[in-house]
Amino acid sequence: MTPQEFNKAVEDYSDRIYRFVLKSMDDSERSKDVVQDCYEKLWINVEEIDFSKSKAWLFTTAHNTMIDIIRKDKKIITDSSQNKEIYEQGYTGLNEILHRCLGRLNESWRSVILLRDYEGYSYREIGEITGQSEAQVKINIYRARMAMRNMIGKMEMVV
Amino acid sequence: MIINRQNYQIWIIDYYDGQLDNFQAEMLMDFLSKNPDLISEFEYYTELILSADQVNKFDNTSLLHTPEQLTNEQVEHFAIALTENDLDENQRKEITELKKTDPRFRKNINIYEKIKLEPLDTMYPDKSRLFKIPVRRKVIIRLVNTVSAAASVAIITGLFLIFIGNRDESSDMLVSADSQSKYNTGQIEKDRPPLIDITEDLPSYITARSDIIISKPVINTEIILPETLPVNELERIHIKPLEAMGNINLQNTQYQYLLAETLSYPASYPGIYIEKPDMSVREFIAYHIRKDILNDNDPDPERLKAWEIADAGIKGFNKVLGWNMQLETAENESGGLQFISFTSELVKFDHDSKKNEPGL
Repeated sequence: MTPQEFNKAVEDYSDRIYRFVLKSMDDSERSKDVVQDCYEKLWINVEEIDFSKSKAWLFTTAHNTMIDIIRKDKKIITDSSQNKEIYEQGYTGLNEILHRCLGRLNESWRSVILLRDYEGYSYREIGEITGQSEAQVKINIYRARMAMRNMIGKMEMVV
Repeated sequence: MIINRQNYQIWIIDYYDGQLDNFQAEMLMDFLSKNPDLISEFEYYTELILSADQVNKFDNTSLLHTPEQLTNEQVEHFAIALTENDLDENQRKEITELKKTDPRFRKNINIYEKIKLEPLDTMYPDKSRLFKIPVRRKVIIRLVNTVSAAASVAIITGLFLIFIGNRDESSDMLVSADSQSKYNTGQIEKDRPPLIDITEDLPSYITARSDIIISKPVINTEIILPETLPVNELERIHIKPLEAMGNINLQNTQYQYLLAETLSYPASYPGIYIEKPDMSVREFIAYHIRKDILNDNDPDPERLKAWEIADAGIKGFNKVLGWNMQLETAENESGGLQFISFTSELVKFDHDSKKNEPGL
């Protein structure tokens, strides 16, 4: 990858990586650090990484860095711990409600949903980024969807 | 592997499964002939082999369910599969049909179609820090920034000196001479060698708000007034060009100026208030930096050159801080920089320039 391609990777992907990390960690300062860390690592390996693979590489690195931080801080919030119906809290707008629900999913579910919905990645691509098998990714997405549906509760009240 | 009494059963099973080649089969038969007590066991295995017609077929129709028999979780599963595009074409058609007829399918599919996140508009705030700039470009940018900063200092200093200088030399005098005057934005010409004598022309025309005809241009030119003006209450003659200077032919043409205002005339000083033609801000700054800072006797409002800005800045520093720096330059015929020399108490530098430096 050339420096110009590196800059293009910054231009094209930094917002996406940041959104992915921010929604996963819910901590803007740490999310910024993760993004910066990713691009520093990319710059260190700039000659070895092809531009066409830089997006997946960045997401993979961001995911791994983020997981390390989350596990270190033990900030994982499981679905079962806070399975309260969100609509009761007075939020408006389905997308906002869904993002609130997302914050209550466990980390592995949250990551696969974000990669699926934000980036449109296939099960295989998500598996490569998160280190899960294709089948695991599919199962996690299904379970995450069902969990989000349960969190939202009576859908007809907000839709 | 050599056949023996510990592993002969594997050989027998492989024999009946057709896994042994001819040589291995002969080995097995040879082993059995040497161990006749095992022959009955060998024959017993023949009874364990099932023929195809002995196998009951599994009734897989028992796995089929009607939509009504599906649990809610199964319906949800199909709904998610449909929205995730995990179904093949036939399954997709089947579930889509069920959506029309079965309220459970319809409800679940509608819900899961909506449980999709849409990306928020969040942007990474520190993106500019991530970009990598080539070293050469970085040096150029730093150089440009440094020059820009120096130019800014020079301009600010120049403007400071322009206004302070004007106050000291002209404006204050204007104000003190006539504190009631509302004409304080022009230029007072005084105590300079007269170049144009309008003494003869003026008396016949000098009436309030009338026109006078002057045979030569007066802009940027000294004018001598009659010792005693014929209008008793005239303090200052406000002469305003009727046309922009750019439209006036400067060679031997009569210029018409409007005697725009006459004010009270003190005995001490008969100043002339000459309004300058309109200038843009850039021209105004260039004109005054040349006139008031660079002490140019014939300043023009043309674009400032880089070395002129630097010279103005240096003079500004000298004046404000009491330093003694000097910048000397020489221009070639085309107006480009031919030679530059900088002298200070600590540093001396001179250089023959090969290229014309760009202007400001």
